[in-house]
Amino acid sequence: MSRQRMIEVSGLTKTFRSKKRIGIFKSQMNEVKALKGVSFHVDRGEIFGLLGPNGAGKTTLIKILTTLLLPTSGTAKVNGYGLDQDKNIKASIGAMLMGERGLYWKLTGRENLEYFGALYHVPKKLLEDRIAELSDLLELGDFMDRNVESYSSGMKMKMVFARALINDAPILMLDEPTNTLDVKEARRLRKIVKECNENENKTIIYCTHVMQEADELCHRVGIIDHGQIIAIDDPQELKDDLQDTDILSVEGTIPDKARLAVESLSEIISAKILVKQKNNGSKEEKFYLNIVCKDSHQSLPIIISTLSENGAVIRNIDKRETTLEDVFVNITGRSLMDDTRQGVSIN
Amino acid sequence: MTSLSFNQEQLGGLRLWWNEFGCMAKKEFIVLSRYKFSFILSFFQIFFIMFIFTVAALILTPPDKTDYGVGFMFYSFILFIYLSTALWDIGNSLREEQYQGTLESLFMTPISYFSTLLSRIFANLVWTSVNVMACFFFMTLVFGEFSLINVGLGLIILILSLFVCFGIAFGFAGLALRYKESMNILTNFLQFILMIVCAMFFPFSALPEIVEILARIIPLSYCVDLFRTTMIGGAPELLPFELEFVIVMLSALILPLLGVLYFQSTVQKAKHEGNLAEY
Amino acid sequence: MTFVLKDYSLKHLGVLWGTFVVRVKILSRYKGSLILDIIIPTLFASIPILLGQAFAGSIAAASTNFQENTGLRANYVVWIIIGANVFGTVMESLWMFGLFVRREQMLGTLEAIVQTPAHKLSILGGLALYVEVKSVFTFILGYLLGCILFNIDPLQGNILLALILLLIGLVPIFGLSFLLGALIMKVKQANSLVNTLQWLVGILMGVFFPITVLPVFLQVFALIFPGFYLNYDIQAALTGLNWFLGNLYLDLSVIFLFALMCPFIGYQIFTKTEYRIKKAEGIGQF
Repeated sequence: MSRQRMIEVSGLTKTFRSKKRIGIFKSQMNEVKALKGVSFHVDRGEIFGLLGPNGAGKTTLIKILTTLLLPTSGTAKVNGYGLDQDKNIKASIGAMLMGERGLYWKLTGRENLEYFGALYHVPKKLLEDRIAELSDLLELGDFMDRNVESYSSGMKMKMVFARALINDAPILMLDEPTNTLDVKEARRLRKIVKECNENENKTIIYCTHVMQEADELCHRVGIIDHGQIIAIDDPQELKDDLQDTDILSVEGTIPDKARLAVESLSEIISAKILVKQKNNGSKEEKFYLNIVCKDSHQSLPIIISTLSENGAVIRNIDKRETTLEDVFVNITGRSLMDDTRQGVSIN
Repeated sequence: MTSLSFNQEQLGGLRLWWNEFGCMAKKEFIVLSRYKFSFILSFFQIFFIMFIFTVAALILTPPDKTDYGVGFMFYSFILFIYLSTALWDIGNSLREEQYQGTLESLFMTPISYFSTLLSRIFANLVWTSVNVMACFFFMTLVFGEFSLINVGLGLIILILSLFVCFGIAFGFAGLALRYKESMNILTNFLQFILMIVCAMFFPFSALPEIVEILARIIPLSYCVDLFRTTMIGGAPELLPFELEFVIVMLSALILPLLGVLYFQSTVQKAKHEGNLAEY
Repeated sequence: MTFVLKDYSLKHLGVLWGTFVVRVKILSRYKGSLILDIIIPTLFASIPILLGQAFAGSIAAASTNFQENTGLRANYVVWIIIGANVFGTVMESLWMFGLFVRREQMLGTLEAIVQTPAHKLSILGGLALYVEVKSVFTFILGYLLGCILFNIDPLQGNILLALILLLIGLVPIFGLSFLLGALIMKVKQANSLVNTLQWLVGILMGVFFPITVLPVFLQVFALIFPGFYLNYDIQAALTGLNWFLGNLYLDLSVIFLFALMCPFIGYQIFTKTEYRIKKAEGIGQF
């Protein structure tokens, strides 16, 4: 039996034109191709991850699917409706875009939820129950009756998430929903997303640049880069494609000359400086040299000697499990975090 | 969690529109009440403007025309203040939604543009009406009684004129989305141009001939002429009463529709350009 | 030591000039705003001018009514055009700082500016320089426009003296601007405050009518408001009316006194308010 397609996207392109200022009186038009022929589908009950660095086109894509933006060309269907049937699409989705923005500062959290619930035509009695449940679920507590302007970033983010759930839509579109949340709250939000999918069979598009999130949550992942989907599959399948290679993580002080020397070795497929979060629960990051090679047992001695000869001080070497980050690096030659943070390097 | 059965039948109908309008107007009232300082200041603002222009009129007027001068300024001002409220409130509240990031959230819900626009003005309109009444009382206190010839008909013309103002304001809301911060300049400019061309604070006879021709093609001019003469007496300056009434009535029907259509088209354009949420 | 001092003052000049240039750049992005600043005073002035003409039957008859009702022997048309243009520059100066604070709060750039080591006075100096330059520019063009539209000789008065009075007379207004900045920081509802107070300022400045037609208590307020002297003396310089205190130097002394006092008092109150707000909620809150 074929599964119901909740979202179908075919050949979507989007080109933005913007003015570039030259001095006080002159300007010139610039064209930016944000999407270049994106096609994919999402089935009912699926969590589909859109994984890519900042500026890859994730938000543009989500905005088109929520009818906030019109494509330059291509077609899309959401819950069976074409993009021109925007009222029906709007009623079918709950969305979380623009991070913590999108709440009325001068209204309390409860008033915001009541307002948006009413705009989605949720009957009053049901709305009250729904708000009470969301308040419990997201532990909003006393904050519900405070003006939004007094909230912290994390609290605003949770309230925006509650707003996305207020109409109990069959489709959820979440764009970087864990931004500004601390580790504990981010974990909790991911758990709720998973429950929404498992218990209520919601179809979810989850945009993120954090590969662990995509790995943990998504049934399928589309890796998007420079406006194109460059890989799309089950996260495990994507990683399995790299199984004939080994990945080594080298920590220490590694000059660029040492990295280049290792990369030039015939046994080595790639050697890139990447960044990862420390495992101490904080958002602190550390840099490491990520080496993809054919057989790590055979290559290890020459890697160590090449690094040492070129001035590297090695503190630790691990053979790692393949991650979606490796998939991204393998296809694009760049790291997800590289593009997101721009211009990081270590020595 | 409570499951909310999704019913697509719910996406249309007058009752639904009324509910949308109700909840949005309620939100506007709540937000308005959170700006208590502005709330109070708006009364003084109206009184100060009326006072400054009335005194300016009186120092140039022969003493035997004082009553006429005060009445003329007051009734002229009522239309101006409603026009100004409509123009500024819609534009400003849309801009504020852009600042807060709520405009995209709002446009992600299945609501009609008409209720979005109308609800924005409604709360301020109610408050402005209260202010205007208070001002009538204070003006009478400061300058003495002035003419009130036909209140009933005057009110009907005022309500029709309000819809003409809505039409202009709805169209302007579209411009607010497009021109963003330059809207303050545009609103000021339009307000002043309409104030002069539609002879809102002086008789049409004071206009140079070329401007008077322009006045005759703007529906708002007939609202001004009709309302003023109904309240202070005398014949309308531009056209016979019946003809002006028909023009005002037709404009009250057509302009809001045109305004909403224009607003809709600018939203579509913003969706193409991707600048709906830009501020 | 000299070097350090020179370096120090150069740094301040750099911030001042930088602030000025940024404001000019921002203005260049809103060219319509500049045009409007030139046109609006004339549009504003045309209301009472045309009203007077219509009610009295002619400009000459309205002039007679004006002279009889106010005791001023001046052409009411040019008198009102000057008033409206001075009013425009006073409003710009008055809101310069208050609206700047509010705008930066809304954009979230106020905290960024406060975090820089630049001295507040250098930033304020840059803002003041911008407003002075813009005011002179808009006043000259606005006045010319009004004169051309209403068929008046713009060169009939002492224009140079009027511009000097404008430059000095705006300084106390900057001081009042700090007071408003403090008020806006506190109540955060800048638009309503601007929209309401501007009309009160118009009344106290005697833009459309001399303050002598006002009740006595309002006349007292007008006499302690620097904008009144600025407006009256520019009107006197351009129309040949008597100076308010009978002598140019006496009028100038009053303006100088305000120019010394107002910025000092205004700045003190602003910094105290800023400190209180920093203590209570943080300066970037809105």
